[in-house]
Amino acid sequence: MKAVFDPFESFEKFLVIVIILGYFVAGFFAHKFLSFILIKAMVLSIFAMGYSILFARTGYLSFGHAAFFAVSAYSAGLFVLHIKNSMLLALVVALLFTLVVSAIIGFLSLLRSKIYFAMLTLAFGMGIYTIIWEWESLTGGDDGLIGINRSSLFGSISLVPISHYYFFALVLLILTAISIYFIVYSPLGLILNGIKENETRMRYAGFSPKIYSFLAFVISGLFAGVAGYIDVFLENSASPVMAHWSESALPIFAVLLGGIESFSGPMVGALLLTLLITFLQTVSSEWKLWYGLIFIVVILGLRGGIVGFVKSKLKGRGGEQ
Amino acid sequence: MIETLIFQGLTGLSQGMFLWLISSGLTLVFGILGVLNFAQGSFYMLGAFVGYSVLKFTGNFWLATLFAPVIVGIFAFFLERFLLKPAYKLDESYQLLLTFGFALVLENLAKLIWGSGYIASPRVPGLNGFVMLFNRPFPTYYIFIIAMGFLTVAVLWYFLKFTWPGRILRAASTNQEMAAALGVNVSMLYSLVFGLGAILSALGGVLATPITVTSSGVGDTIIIKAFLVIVIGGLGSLKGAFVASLIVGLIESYGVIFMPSFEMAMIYIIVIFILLFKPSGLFPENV
Repeated sequence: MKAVFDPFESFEKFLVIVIILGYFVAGFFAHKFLSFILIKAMVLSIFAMGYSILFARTGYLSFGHAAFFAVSAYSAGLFVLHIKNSMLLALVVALLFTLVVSAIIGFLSLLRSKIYFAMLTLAFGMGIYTIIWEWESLTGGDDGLIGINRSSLFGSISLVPISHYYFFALVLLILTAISIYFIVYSPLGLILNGIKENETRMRYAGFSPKIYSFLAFVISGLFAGVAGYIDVFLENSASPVMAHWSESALPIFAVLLGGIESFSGPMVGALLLTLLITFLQTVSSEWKLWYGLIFIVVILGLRGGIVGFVKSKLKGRGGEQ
Repeated sequence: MIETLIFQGLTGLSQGMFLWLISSGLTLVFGILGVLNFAQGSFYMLGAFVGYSVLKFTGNFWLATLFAPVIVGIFAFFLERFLLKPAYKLDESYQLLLTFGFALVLENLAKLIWGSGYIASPRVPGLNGFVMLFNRPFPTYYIFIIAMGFLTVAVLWYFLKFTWPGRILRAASTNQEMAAALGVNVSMLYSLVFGLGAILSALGGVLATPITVTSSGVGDTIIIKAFLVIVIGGLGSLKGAFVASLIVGLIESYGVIFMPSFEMAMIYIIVIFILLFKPSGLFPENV
């Protein structure tokens, strides 16, 4: 029998807590560059954990989530540049825009089968990319937005130093992990799992798979938004590349690398992938090529992901699969 | 006014033919292999770049047009043999991911080999001129493209309807086990169809170089349009792919007149209408 998702897999929870503690401790010692890389890893963790709600729980494969990341980044950036220099309000505005855009794209893309869904998410996502690219008066076109500076929270806690911002990102990561945990083990999560296992049976049981898949889509879009929000204030800029389809590969890759069937997988995968990309960028100017090749190897060779691999080793050779 | 409409119509038809060359590849590969190939746009892009290299080597555009699709087709044949085949036993979404990975690698490979800039548009011997239509010059090359488009339709149609390998293909698309039982080497058939799909797309890519600016990102633009074509036409029907390609080509070229620089938006609007009111596409599936 296929391995059933085990909600109380203590190893998974242990792993997540260890990683979060690791981030926490590292926050006190990391110098600027390492802090930057680790925040990048947190951004990708949030992106990937949200993405796994859609991909791992419903089986719908979206190639357009980079668009939601970018919508959030741009709306947060434009808000602090032109309307009010408040990071908290910017978060609200960014998530609101992301919600609207992901609801529209999710609704349209889910009107047909899974294979069309993949095509439509790519096409609509790239539609957003084109809009960002072309609408120069608003988005700065090719040059993007620059000078998106961090300010303070509640007027007193300054997020300007990266060491402070690091813990802000960590708090958002922890909140994400907790929300994802509750979503996965909520009735919604169980229904989503049921849709993935046997869509027809769920339909007969009276659940409309499309509505729940839509919810999963919007939730994953929102977390992409949270990730985009953290990223734009980390980079102090936004660029159209954020919305490009090749960026949508990042959360997919992180989820696959960590392990699609696992709760801790996206977080493990995101950390490893960020370190891998940083390493590739320093050793080769053609890093994207290597990155693509490793992507192919992971799909063909490592389908349980790293966490799945370690778990099967821990269980010994007698386990399922 | 009427002349402008006819002019834009012809331009649109020629644009539609490029879309047809790539969406027919998508449709064939999906019809036989059951795989949606994200790398179809990369084959188009490779066709353009390989053609550029052949042209530099031989100095003849027609040789480039001949050899580039063949080279890309052979490459795709081996790509299927060695990397896609192991994925058939996996879930559908992993096959999709794999072709997505191919696209990622091929785009960056092209950047590595040919650089990330634009390549020069070649001159086409014999077709550089114009023909007079309503006292206006219309580029001969566009007419050639339209003719080439119809020619590929005719050749594909003849091949599928009246030749033995074509019949095998159609048989395999309806019932693979039966075809295998009759002694068809399905594994080889898959590789050949994947190669054939790549040849069609690469032909589109190399034929587009004289009239479009080509960079390694050219595959992106075309695959997105091809996906929109498929959503309009319905996946799995060559007729649908053809008609929808022409529709999208026409929308695009008329869009330039009515909504300059937002012609892509027009295509999206049509697609949204189709999704909402005729969700199965114009030509529901059958090969």
